[in-house]
Amino acid sequence: MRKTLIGLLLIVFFSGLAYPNQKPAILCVKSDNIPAEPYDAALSGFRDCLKNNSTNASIIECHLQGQKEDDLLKLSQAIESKRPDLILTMGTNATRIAQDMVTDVPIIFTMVLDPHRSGISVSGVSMDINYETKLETLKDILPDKTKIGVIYSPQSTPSYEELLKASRNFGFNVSGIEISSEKEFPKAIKTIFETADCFLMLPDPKIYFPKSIQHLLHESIKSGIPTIGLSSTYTRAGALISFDCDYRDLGKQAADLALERLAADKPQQTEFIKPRKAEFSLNLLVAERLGIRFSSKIIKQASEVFGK
Amino acid sequence: MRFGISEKIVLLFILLIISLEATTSCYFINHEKNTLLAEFDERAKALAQSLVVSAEYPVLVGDKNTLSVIAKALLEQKDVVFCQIKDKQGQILFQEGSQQDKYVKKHVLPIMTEKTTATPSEELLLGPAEKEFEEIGNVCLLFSLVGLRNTLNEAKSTIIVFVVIGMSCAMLFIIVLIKLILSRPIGELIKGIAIISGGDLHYKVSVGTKDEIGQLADSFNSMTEHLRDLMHKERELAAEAATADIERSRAEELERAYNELEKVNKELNDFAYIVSHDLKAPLRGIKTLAGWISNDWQDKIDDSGKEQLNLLLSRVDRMHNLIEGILQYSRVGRIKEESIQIDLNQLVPEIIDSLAVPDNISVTIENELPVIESGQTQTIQIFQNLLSNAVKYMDKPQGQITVDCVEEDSFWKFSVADNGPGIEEQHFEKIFKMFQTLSPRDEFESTGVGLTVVKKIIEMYDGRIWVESKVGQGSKFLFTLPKHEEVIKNEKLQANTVG
Repeated sequence: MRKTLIGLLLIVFFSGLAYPNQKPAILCVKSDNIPAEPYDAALSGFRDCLKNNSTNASIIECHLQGQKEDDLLKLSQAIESKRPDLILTMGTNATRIAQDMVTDVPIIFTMVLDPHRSGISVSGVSMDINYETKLETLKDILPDKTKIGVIYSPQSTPSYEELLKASRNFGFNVSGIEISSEKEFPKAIKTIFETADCFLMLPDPKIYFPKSIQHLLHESIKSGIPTIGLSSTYTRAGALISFDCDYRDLGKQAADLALERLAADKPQQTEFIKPRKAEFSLNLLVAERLGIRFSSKIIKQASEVFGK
Repeated sequence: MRFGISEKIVLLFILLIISLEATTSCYFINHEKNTLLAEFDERAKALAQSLVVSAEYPVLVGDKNTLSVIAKALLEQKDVVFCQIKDKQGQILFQEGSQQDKYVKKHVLPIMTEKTTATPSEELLLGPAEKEFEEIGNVCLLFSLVGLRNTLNEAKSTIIVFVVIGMSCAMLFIIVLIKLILSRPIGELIKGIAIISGGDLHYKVSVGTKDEIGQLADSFNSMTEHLRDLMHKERELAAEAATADIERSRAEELERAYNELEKVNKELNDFAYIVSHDLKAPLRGIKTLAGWISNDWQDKIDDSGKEQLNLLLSRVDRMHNLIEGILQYSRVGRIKEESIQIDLNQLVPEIIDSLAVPDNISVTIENELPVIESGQTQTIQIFQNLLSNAVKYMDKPQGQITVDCVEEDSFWKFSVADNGPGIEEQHFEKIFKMFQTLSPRDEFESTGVGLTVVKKIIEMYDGRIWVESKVGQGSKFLFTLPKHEEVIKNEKLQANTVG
């Protein structure tokens, strides 16, 4: 009887020891405005990275619908029921909701553009590719284009300043026009296209929306000034070149950060990490229209080539 | 005013075609109208849509200059008489043209644009997950319908002209067709009926078609043929009736003649018998008186007188024989003899024996003779006459007479052949006639009645007699008798008696 009691106590003791080593639960919260393809790629990279680090995590997905009340309820129910060890957010909306609602669970974000100005207060991996990386690549692709024109609003001024800073290292002459409303955009475009060799889009939702982008690309081709877009979507639509994140690698970077947070005993400092890999896409049809020829080496390096 | 069938059908077709023309014209005009309107609407919508697309960004950014350029370019389009562009607050960004035209069509389309959200800037890179649209203004276009009306009126005129021409051609064709397929056959039919009604039942109606009219013509021809046959039969029946009348009258005449002939025959027969019989008595008296004179006056009559008396007696005998021959001939058939079974194997030898045939003549019976059914006296007469003639006229030192009989289908064929002088072919018929002899009476005493009597007896029994002979080689008398005696009718007997 005595031996039996001792055995039971030992089982209970070792069970208690084993509990902290069980597989961590990670709640993956997706913003309503994140398309499925990049989301899947990022999540896949995240899973792979955890697996490669021998962390057998349980990932629970939670897709927000864009209705604030509903999303809050959905997220709180998920947290209550799943008791996650970490929350991975994808997109600005999801990150904002999660950081507002949760304080006792570490949050890691990814697929957020310009987290500084988006009011993000948790650590994560943004989609902001370094301008150094962009300009270095641009120098290889378009060596004779040195005058870069940009349009920015007060919202995108930091990006503009960052660009200006980076351009000095690579010998580019950046000239920008600041506009306060979208109504000024057509005029600003005309002005920029008169002086610049190429036009670089800065991520600014106030300036760029479907119609303004359409107008920009139209005017770009009409004026013979190549546009450097924000992603391959723009290259497909008529931009000459665009820089893209590697979303799978973005997921991997987020996974690295998540592992750090899971291993840490105490809360870490907020950290915004930029993508370590950048890709570029080309539109050969636009290039032909603008009289630009790319070397085969450049074409081979491109992650996507349109208008072959 | 009278109309024929074809005229009525043509009238019907004209009415039908006029209705068809009206319906077709209405249909085509309506169709053309709908097509033109649809094209017009489609073009108007396309123009309005192109304006909406072009004006989207200028309206969004309030770029009136660009809007003006775009809208003026549109106003240069045909039929566009008015253009107005408003933003979502209802402020007019552009307006030009007249709204006073009477015939116009209005097209108002909203200007939609993708809804933009301010905060989620990652959409700039990734693209929106779902697109939403909001109305930022509208365009109003007025299209003039004058051009469309003119086009439609032209189309109407063209359609009516074409339909009228087309239908008129079709009508002419149908009229000609009706004339060909209806009028001509009916005309032929009417003509045929008129000719046949006139009495010419041999006329054939030919319409040259196989339709109902053709069938009617065929039926009419069949009817005419039938009528013709009936009339022919009627004529035949009438002719037959006439012939029957003639036949009847002829039969009556024949019967009358026959009765008269029968009467004459009987009278002749009786006359022959009576004459023969009555002549015999004075002849006997002459012979008796001549015998008395010869005996009583033997001493007083010289040799010449005796010779004259002997000549008188011989002529009396010849006269007696002639009368006897006539009596025999008239007896045949007049006297009814009962038919009995006669065995000729027995009778013929008896006849031969009775003839006292000279030694130089041999009479032989070749085959077994049959048993016949006949009158005995008449059978004896046949064989006796034939055999006695053969014996009498035999001129050969060794005479041969042969009696034979062969059986044929329904009769017996007898023959009496000799090797005597023979008969010339020209006398084959003559020998069977009354009082006909081929030798002078002084040479062979003959009445010329024997063969005539034989022929009469044989024919009475439905037999036949003929002679085959070659001069110098002999003669063969052949005759037939039926195997079974038939009833000999009195009428026939009497008729034959005369012949």
